[in-house]
Amino acid sequence: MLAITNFVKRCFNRDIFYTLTNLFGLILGVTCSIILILFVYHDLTYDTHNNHEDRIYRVAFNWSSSSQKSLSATTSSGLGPILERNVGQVESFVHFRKSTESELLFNSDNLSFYESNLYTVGNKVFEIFSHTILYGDITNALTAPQSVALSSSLANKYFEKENPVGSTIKIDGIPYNVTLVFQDLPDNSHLKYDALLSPTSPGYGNSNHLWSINDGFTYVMMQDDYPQHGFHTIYEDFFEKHMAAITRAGGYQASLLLEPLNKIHLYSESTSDLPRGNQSYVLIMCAIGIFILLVACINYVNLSVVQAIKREKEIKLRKIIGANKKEIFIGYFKESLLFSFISVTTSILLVFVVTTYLPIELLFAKKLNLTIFSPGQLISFSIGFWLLLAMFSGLYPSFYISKIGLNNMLSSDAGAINNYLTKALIGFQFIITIGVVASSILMYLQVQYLTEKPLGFSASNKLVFKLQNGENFPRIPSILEQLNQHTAIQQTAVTNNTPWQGSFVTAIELPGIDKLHSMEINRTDIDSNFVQTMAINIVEGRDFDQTRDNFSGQNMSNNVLVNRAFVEASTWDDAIGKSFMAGQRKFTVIGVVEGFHFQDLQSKISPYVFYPFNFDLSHFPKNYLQSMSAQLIVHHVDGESADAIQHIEQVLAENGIHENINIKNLDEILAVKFDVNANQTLLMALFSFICICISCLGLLGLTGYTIERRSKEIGIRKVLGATRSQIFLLINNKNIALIVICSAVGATLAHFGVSYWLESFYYKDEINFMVLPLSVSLGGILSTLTTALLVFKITNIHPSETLYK
Amino acid sequence: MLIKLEGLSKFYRTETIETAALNEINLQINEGDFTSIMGPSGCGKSTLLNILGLISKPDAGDYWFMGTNVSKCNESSLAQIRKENIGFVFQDFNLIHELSVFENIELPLVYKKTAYKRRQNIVKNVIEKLDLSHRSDHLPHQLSGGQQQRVAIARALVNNPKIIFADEPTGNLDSKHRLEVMDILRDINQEGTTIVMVTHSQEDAAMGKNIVRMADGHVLT
Repeated sequence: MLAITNFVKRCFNRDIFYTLTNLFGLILGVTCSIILILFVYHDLTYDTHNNHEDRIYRVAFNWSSSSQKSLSATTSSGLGPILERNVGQVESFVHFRKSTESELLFNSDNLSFYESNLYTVGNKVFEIFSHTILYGDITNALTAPQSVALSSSLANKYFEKENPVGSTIKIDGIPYNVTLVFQDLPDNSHLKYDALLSPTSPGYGNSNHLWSINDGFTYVMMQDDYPQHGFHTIYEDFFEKHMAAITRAGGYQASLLLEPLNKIHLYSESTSDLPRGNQSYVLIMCAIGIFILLVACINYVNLSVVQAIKREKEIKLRKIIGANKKEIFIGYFKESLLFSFISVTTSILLVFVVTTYLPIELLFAKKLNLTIFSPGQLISFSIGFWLLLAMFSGLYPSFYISKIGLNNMLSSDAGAINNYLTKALIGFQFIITIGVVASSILMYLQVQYLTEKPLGFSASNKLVFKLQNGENFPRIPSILEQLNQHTAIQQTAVTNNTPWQGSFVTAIELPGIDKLHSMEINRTDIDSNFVQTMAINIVEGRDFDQTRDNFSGQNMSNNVLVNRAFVEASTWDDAIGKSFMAGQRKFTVIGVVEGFHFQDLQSKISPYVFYPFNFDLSHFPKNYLQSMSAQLIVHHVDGESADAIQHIEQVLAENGIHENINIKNLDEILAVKFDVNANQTLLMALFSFICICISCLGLLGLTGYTIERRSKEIGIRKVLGATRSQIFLLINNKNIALIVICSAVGATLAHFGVSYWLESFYYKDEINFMVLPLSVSLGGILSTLTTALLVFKITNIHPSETLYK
Repeated sequence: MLIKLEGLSKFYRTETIETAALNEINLQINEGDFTSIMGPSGCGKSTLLNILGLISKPDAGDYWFMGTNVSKCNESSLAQIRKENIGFVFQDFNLIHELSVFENIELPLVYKKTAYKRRQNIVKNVIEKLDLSHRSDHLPHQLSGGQQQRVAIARALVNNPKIIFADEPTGNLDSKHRLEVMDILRDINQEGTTIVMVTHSQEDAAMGKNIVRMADGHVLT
C-alpha cells in the first residue's frame, strides 16, 4: 500500500503542471465520451427490454401508385385479426388505437389533469410486450369495457402511494375501473404510454375500416421458430384478397411491411409515426465521442512524451544502474495505468453528477443515466475502458522512453521530441477540432435557415384551449362571438384539433388520368375563420364561407380546402372544383392554401385537407358525442394575453363551462415541436468547445515544452536584440502553418460530413463556403492565443535567468 | 565616462534567506578601457557583468550608461540600448545550434533591421577579420571551441558596439585557443572598443588595462 502511495506521490510531484494538464484533458475527454456512449447505447437499445423483442414486428402499410409512394406506420384496427387468421406464422397481434384527441382529461377525487400518451388496446398487449406489474392481474386487465391500466407515475399522481386497483378514474367524463398498475416503461421505448384503455367502441376490429381509418399501430408476435428478418414484406396477396374490392382496384399496389420492433426507432422510414431517432444524428454523436476521446488521448501521448524527454537523464541513469528496456517500459506504463484509472473513475463520478444533478435531458432530449447499465455491465465497462485508455494513451510514450539510448550519456541538454510524430498528432488533433467546429457552424446555419423559413402560418399571440363534449358544439359560435367582444381579442376560430397537436391520417382516392389515384392525407376540421385567424395564405379559389358552406348537421358541406402539397401529389393541373372520395363521401376542392409546416421542420410538407367543422353532431350516439372535443383558437392583441385569458375564463364560466380549462400558448406548443434541431446544434457547440479546450491544452503543453527547451536560445536572441514578436514567430511559425493546413483539411471533411447530414432534410440551405476559411482562421487564432501567453511570459524574463541554465 | 555605478546592489531571495550577490558597488569605466573583473566563484562577477550588460536589473543603487540612468529604464528601452551599443561574449559561446556561422553572426543585424546587402557586407568583413571565411557555412557543432568563440566574438562585433562584455571568454578553451581569443580581444580594444571581461585567469586579466577584484559581493580595488 505504501509503495502504491509513494508511486502516486512521485507521479504527481514530478511536474505538477504537466501532470494536472494531462489529467484534466484526459478526464474531460473521457467524461464527454462516456456521456456520448450513454446516448448512443440508449438509442441502439430501444425496445430491447421486451422479452420477445426479436419476435415482435410492427405492421406498416406500404402502397404506391404511378405518382406517389407511401409507407404508413398507422394501420386500421381491422388488420390484426385478418393477419392472425391468414398468416400462419403470426402467433398473436395487438393494435394500439390512438385517441382522437391528443390529450384527455383525467379526474380522480379533486385532481384533474390533461394526459397524453394513452391508447386503447386489447389484453394481448401484456402477452406480447413485457411489463413489470406492480398491482393487479394481467389475465383480464383490459377485457371488460371501461377498464384502464396505469403506469406507476400516473397511478402515483392520482392515487399517491396507495394501490389504486379497483378505484375509479374519470377519463373525459367516462368512469374507468383501474385494473392494473405497471412500472413506467423504459425511456428507450419507441411506443410510450402512461394509460391503456380497454376497447369500448363497437366498431373496434371491424375489417370494413381496413382502408379508410388508419387509427393506430398494429404489432404482431411471430411464432418462436419464425426466422429473424430485418424489414420485410409479408402476405403478398393481402391487397388483392381484402382491399381491392373496397378501393375499386384503383391502379395502385399495396403490401404489408413488417418492421422489427428493435429497429423501428432508428431504421423505420414510415410516415405518420411517433417521434423517432435519427440515424445520422446517432452516427454524428458516435463520431464526436470517438473524436473527443482521440483528441484527449493524443494530448496524453504528446504531454507524456514531453515529460519523458525531461526525464531523459533519469532514464539513462536507471539504465546505467542496470535497468533494461522492458523494466523501463513497465515502469512507465504503470504510470499510464494509474492516470487512466484516475481518469476513468473520476469521469464516471462526474457523469453520475452531471446526469443526476444537471438538466442534461434538455440538451439530449432524453434522460441519460448510468443505470442503463447493470452493476456488472458498469464494472466490466469501466475496467474495459480503463485498459483500453491505458493502452491507447500509454503504449507509445512507454515504448518511446524505453528506447532512449545511452549516447551523450548524462547530457543535461534534453533531446528534441520526435518532431514528425508529435506534429502529426497535433495536426490530427486540429483536423478533428476544426472539423467539429466547422460542422457545428454549418449545422447551426441550417437550423437558422429552418427557423427563419416561413412556417406558412402565424403562431404569435395565439391561445389554444380545448372544449370538452360534443354536446357543447352548437354553443361554440355564440361563445366565439362573446370572446370577440373584448378589445384584447382580435379573432377566434375553432377546429377539432390543431394541425400541430396531431391530425387524422386517412386515405382518399381521386380520379387520375385514366384510373383512380390513391393518396394518404392529414385532415383537420375547421370553421370559416380558421384560415384567416392563422394567417394561412389562400393561393387559389376561396376560403370557407359561412353563408355558402353548411357547417352543421347531416347536410354538412362537402367542400374542402387542400394545401399546395396535395395538388402537387395529385394528377390535377387545376384543383378547384375537382373531387375525391374518402370512404363513402365525395368531397369537392374549393380552395388551395399555401403549404404550412405541421410536422417537424425537416420533412417535406405532406398533403393536407381542411374539412368543414360540424357544429351540430346531434345525430351521433350520445356517448360518442360526449367523448368529442374541439380546440378553440384565440388571436389576442400583442401584450394582452393576460386580459384575453381572463376574458376567456369569464365567458366560459358565464356559459356554464367550469371544467378544467387548460389554456396554452401556441408559440410554446410549437417551440417544443420544432426545437429538436436547436438542441442538436447546442450540443454540437458544446462538444466543439470541449474539443477546442482539449486541443488547446495539448498545444499549451507542447509550446510550454518548446519554450522550456529553447529558453536559452530565446535568451541569446533577446540579448542580440530580438523583439517579442520576433520571438513569438520563432516559436510558432511552423506550428501555426501546420495548424492552418490541418484546419483546412478538417473544414473540408466537415463540409462532406454536413452534406451527408443535410440529406435528411427536405428543406436545406446551400452550404456557406465562407465557413471553411473562417474555421481555418479560427484554428490559426486559437493556436496563436494559446501560445501567446507563454511567449509573453518568457520574453518578460530577464535574459540572464535563461542564459546560464 | 561610459559607465558609472553608485551603491549598486543585487539580492537573491529564497523562502527563508536573502543573499546579497552585489553589495553597494561603486565603479567607473571609461571609454576605451579594458577592464578585467576577477574573484573567487560566487563572488558576484557574472551578476555584475549581467547588470552592466543590461541583461539583468539591480535591486538598489544607480547605474549610468553613457550618461543615462539605466536602472530606471524599462525592458524595451534596455533592449534598444543593448542593440545599439553592446556586444556579448560568453564562456559557453551561446551560439544558436541550428544557424550557420554566417547566420549566427548576422543575427544582431537582422534584429537591428539592417538592409540585406549592407548586412552581407558587414558580416563578410567581420568574418574575414576573424579568419572564419572557410567556416562561414558550418554549423556551430562542426567547429572547435576556439572557432566557436571566434564566431561569438564576431557576432559581438558585427554591430560595431561601444562596449563588449565578455564572461570568461577563455574558460572553455585550451591554452592555444585561449591566447588566440585574448589577442583578438586586445586588438579590438586597441581599435577603440571598450571591453569588460570576467575571468578567473590572472594571465588573461593581466592583458587588460585595469583589474577589478571582487569578494562576497564587494569590490575590493
